[in-house]
Amino acid sequence: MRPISVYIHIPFCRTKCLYCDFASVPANHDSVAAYMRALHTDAERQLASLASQGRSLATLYIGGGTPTVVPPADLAALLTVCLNSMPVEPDIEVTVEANPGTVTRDTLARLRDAGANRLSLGVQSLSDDLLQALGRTHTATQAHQAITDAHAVGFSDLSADLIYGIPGQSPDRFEADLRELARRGLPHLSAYALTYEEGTPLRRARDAGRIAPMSEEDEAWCFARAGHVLAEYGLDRYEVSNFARPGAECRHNLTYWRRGEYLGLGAAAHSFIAGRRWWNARQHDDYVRCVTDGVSYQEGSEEITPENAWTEAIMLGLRLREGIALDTLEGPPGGTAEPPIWSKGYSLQQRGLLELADGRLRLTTKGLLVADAVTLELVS
Amino acid sequence: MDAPTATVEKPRTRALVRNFCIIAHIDHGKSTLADRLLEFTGAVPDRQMREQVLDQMDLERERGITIKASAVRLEYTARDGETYTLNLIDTPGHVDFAYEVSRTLAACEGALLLVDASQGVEAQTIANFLMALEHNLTIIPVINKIDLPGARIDEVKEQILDELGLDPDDVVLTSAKEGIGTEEVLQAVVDRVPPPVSDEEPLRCLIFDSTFDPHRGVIGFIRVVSGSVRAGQIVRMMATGGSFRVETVGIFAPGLVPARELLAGDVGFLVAGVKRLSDMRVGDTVTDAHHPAPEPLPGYKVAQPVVFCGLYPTDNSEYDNLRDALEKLQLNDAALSYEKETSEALGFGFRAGFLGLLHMEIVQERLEREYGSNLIATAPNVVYRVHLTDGSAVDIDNPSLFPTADRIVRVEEPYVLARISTPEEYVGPLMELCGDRRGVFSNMHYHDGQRVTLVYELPLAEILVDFFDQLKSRSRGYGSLDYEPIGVRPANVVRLDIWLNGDPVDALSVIIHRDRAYERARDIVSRLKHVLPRQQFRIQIQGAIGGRVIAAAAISPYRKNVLAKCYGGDITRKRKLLEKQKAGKKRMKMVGSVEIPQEAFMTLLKLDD
Repeated sequence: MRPISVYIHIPFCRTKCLYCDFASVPANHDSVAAYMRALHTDAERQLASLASQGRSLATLYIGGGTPTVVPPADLAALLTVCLNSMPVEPDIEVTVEANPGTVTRDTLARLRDAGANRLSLGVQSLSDDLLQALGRTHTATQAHQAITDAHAVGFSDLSADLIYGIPGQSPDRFEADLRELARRGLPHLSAYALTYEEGTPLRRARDAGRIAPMSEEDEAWCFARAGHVLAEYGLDRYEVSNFARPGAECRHNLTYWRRGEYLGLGAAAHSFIAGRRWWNARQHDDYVRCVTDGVSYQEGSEEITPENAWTEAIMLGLRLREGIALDTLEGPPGGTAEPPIWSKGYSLQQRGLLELADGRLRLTTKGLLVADAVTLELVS
Repeated sequence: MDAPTATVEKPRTRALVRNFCIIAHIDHGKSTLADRLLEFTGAVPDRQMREQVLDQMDLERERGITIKASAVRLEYTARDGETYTLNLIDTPGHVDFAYEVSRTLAACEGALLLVDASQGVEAQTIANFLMALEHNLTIIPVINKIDLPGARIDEVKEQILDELGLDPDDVVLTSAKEGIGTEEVLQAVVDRVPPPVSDEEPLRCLIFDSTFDPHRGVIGFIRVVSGSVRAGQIVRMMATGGSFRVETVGIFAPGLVPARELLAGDVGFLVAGVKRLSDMRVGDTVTDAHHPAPEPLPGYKVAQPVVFCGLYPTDNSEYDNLRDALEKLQLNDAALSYEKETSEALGFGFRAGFLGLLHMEIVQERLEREYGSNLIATAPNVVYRVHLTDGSAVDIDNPSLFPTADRIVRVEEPYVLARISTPEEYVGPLMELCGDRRGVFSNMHYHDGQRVTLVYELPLAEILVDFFDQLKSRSRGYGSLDYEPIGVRPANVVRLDIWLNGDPVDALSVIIHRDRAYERARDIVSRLKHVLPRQQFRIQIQGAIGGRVIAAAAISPYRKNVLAKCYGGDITRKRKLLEKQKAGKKRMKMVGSVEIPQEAFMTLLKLDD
């Protein structure tokens, strides 16, 4: 059996956050119901097909959007159909994303019963004013309650997302959030820098000068500080924005970064199987229509050339603390025996940005902070 | 080229031949009118008709201007029942190519002077008109675009009378776009343009343009002024001295159609196994090698480059490709000159000379587009004549070679006579502009109480610096410019060097006026601060004259450069972003550890207002 990961996208939210440019729309009862029916049908078909190709399920991830705006019974049914339509690996990781404002202990219990063994909570901040600044609808109290509830129903594999660089947020406030969450015994944390994506209300506010973004110095400080603080609690940075106790890394996300194979189901989901990437119709109703009519909902695709694969390996691998195996770095396919990447790699090593050990090339802590620039230098 | 078996009906007599061109300000509709004349006379079958048939290069179509001259032969049956042969010669439409225009005019007896009905007479209209008068051409004024809502036919007629002294009753009204007035234009050419004078001996042909064909070599576009020329004849280029055996002569029908011979008064082409454009130069006279004419036709000169810049491959290993591309381009463009140059900052490259800014832009674009070269072009500059303390004089076409002050006695720089045409209300701002640019007021003409022509003597170097854009913006797009060289004048200039992190970058040196040196240096340094990409280290930018720093700025390093999120499973999006950045990086040149984008060189020439 060859393991594979499956991602399922729930494109609904209660309201859209001010910084969000993901595929999501406000939840509406009928749309959600129709969408979940389509997903159910699609998952059953696609996973059975994977099974027939000798694949087993290594990780399952239900993300969004906000999966927990879907009625718990529907989410539980979706989990059940997935876990019963194809063989699953004994150590399967089943993650559901949840927003603190949309879960109750009962919801979490049902997800747990249906097979979820990992929960990712969109906490973002433990300051209500900052949550408001982001357009989030939950409060810090609700976040703490969600953690308590998750623990109560047996989710020990629990992760929380935090955002730094929120207008009005001081680096100290961010550090306090990190400590507060770590003290609650979470084995996994993600800390993302706020990005001002094109077309979002937050971007417009920044461009119009209505809000002052955090200074680059402070952002860099937060980035470095997260590493130090969480290490005190036994959580190591294993990716640019992700921290875990050894063994508690998110294996689903590692699949993306290690260029493993995955199938994406639902609107706007991406897949990567057999050297081909493709993505589904972005609009939820288009997806529903296609599934109902039994036609393809694929919106676009690309064959990954050896050159693409090489670029991806560097781009993704350098984000990981484990780095990239040197044999993938032998240079772009068709290149010469002495790939120019060696001289670039050497120069980056001299500048203290890259390190070479155990046959792997990886960014130093200093290099991680400028990972995009290093990546660009290596692939150019 | 068409099969040599094609035969061409020759006009029975010279009286049935007319040679003419169209002259106009840019955008006044020259190419469109030419298209209509071709259509009307059936010179181009409809199915072959493309917009602006005469503008053949992609670049010409895109920019809407003619760069190379070309010619076409039209058969027109006039009202007297006779079928006339009309040779239409298209002229380049830009001041950079004034010499080529003058050779075209010399090949004609008449000119259609095209004026846009809403724009009226412009600077280039006047310049072209004066040039046509110099060549004793019969001028037929044509007011075009009469269908447009903004057309002011009566006013423009008055302008034609006041500013050009032409009889408004002689004006032909057209809309080339709508095909109005096409036949009237053709009839006017027959009625008013005199037939060519035909002298039997000796052979003298004017080369008014040439082009390079990879199979046939140079194709000369010629006007036979006297005598006749045919295949097999041995001819000599009177200025460059080479002798060649004529392989083919023929006419533009359009397309090259071989003919048995060309007689005095004919316009056509000549192929003689010439391998290089420089052996068959525009303006030269072709004569019979055995019975040469005693004197060549007047007006020949070698087009002198007036604007120079360094051309460097962004990737040093591309040097050979760039050299090959320049070689190929020169086959087609005798006005382009270049020689090898080495820059400490940019490595191996070339110093190239051009007829003007437009010519420079065209060459750069063609190098990138047709030959796929990734280029860095340094800021354009003029040639300075520097008189040295040892009594010698040198021409400096590369700012980084400009001698230090202690070795200089005096410097001279090229000047132009600039003619600026503008509606009256913008005279103030434009005079201010010319004053700022060290212009010397020479003259001012008022026409019809609305339009004014300003005449200034200006250093050519000042015209390279953002002048045309400024002229357009200060006149809300209504001002127009034409200029001609008038020799050199004393120049009070110094070399400003730019240092990045303490190291001089020779390719960024510029020659600036001494009185404004501090101001310009501060301006340039602060502009560079905005165009040089941030790095992981601090970049110190300094402007220095003679080793003394007079302006400085710094670019702070970035502290953090990593995108927090990786878009989940959407790897494609992130990879495409990276590939785009990678492509952008290809267009930068590494100098030491600093990346210099093309923009940095152009920013040297911008001015703050």
